[in-house]
Amino acid sequence: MSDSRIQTITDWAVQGQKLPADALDLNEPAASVLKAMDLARETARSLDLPFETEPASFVKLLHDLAPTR
Amino acid sequence: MTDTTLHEMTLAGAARALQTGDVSSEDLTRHTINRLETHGPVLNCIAAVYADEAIGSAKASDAARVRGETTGTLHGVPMAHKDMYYRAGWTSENGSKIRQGHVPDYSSTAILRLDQAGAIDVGRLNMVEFALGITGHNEITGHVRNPWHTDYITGGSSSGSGSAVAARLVYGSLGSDTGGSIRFPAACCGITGIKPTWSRVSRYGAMPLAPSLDCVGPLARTAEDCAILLNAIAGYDENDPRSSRHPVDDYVDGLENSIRGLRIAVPANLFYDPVTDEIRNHVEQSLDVLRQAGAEIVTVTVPDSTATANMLNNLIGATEGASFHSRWLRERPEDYGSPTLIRFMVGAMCPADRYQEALALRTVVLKEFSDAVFEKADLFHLPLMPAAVPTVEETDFAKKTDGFAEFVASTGHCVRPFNYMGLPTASIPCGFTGNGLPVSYQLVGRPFDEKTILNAAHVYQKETDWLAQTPPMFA
Repeated sequence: MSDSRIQTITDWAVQGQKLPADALDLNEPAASVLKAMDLARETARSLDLPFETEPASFVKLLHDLAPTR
Repeated sequence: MTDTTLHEMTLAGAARALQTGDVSSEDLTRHTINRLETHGPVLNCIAAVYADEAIGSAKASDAARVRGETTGTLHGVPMAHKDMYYRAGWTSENGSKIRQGHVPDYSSTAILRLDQAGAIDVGRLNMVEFALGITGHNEITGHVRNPWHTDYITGGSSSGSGSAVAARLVYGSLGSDTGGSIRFPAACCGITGIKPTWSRVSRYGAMPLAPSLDCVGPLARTAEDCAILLNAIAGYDENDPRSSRHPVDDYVDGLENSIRGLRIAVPANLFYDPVTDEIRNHVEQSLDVLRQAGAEIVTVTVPDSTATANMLNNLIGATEGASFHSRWLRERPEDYGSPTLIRFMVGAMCPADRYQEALALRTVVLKEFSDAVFEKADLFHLPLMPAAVPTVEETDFAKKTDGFAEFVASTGHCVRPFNYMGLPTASIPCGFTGNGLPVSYQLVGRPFDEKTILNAAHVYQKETDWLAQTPPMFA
């Protein structure tokens, strides 16, 4: 995790979003969110996520997997 | 009935005592209010008590019973709920400074359904600020205390609900679970809680945190109590278009069924990685009880993709939460507690494409998990907390305790994957660790199969006596 990436997103938070990020130590939480973002990207690639996959498919699958009584 | 008898009853026991006329709703409600006012401040679990309104409702409930007009299974039972369930005209402050004095002009569907079942609403219980946190700390309203030992955390974010039910102050409480917020306090306080399948219960009139994950569910002493409450609140609601139209089971009917032949899976990998030997021993003993009751235990290997679910759940939760709070984050950042502010701010840093990937991956992760587990078993059994319940001091974000981030990550390890996958999951007490605090295990079911979870949990609770123990300070 590079410091420049963390600095970039904290700068964006302060300048773009007007958040008071400069008053807080955001290094650790920003590193954490970067790690999660990278994980999402890597997992999507490794699982070969189809282009058409959208959140609605999750709801359909939930119902498809429900037991029938 | 003696005072002790009154508060030692479970929710199901209270409902039966009301039905047989052994106690009136007015007496039960006055006793509940008295205990909330006596013990609530010690635990810091109360947000607001509406004594006059509750006693008025209880009197009306008793009068209706005399006329033979009982309204439902909860007729006359007093309850209080997490301070995020709206009732028109009552404050709903969400454990925050920002919403202090907020009085909604409409009521949540879950609250109205409890009203229809006859429950008496006594008030609101403290919670983690905006439901964002798993330890129970709250810099704004103060930390809620664990009734087993007030130096220890309650778990969050339904901290007041866990504390008040465990201390026998109320018979049951609505909580919410976006990343473990029903199951952590249920586990830390030694009671039962169930996060239903995502979309099983309407979220209308409940404070939103992350709608893709938010679940409304009960915390109560027993699985039977949870079944009664879930019966009252589950089902489609036109005010929450994302609530499911899937048929609702009767969760009480079938609780006594034998679990002989029920297949329960245990993980060969992943979920025991951060778990201490002490916790492992308790959780494995719970499995022995289920085995002796006739369950067939099978070992499964969970897919690698399941390991991503904890972190991806956090990403979705923080991102959606940040979007709700974006205006206040800019205009009133000083009014947030520091952990809440930081968590929402990092959520604001997630670009839309990564957020969409995290959402889209749910389908794949759920399918792979389901193929690996539910092809071979009916339920999945696993630990909940990886280690004994810690103290408030040890886990105080503001004190920047060493290892805090690791604690939060490891604590979510066994819990959040099931928020991400939307699966119903219960927290069931199974003993006490060396520090005298409760320990629990989880049962996960197929989507919309809360019935099987509650059946197995009820059988387990009939075979064990963990729930008979009362926190000594509140006996």
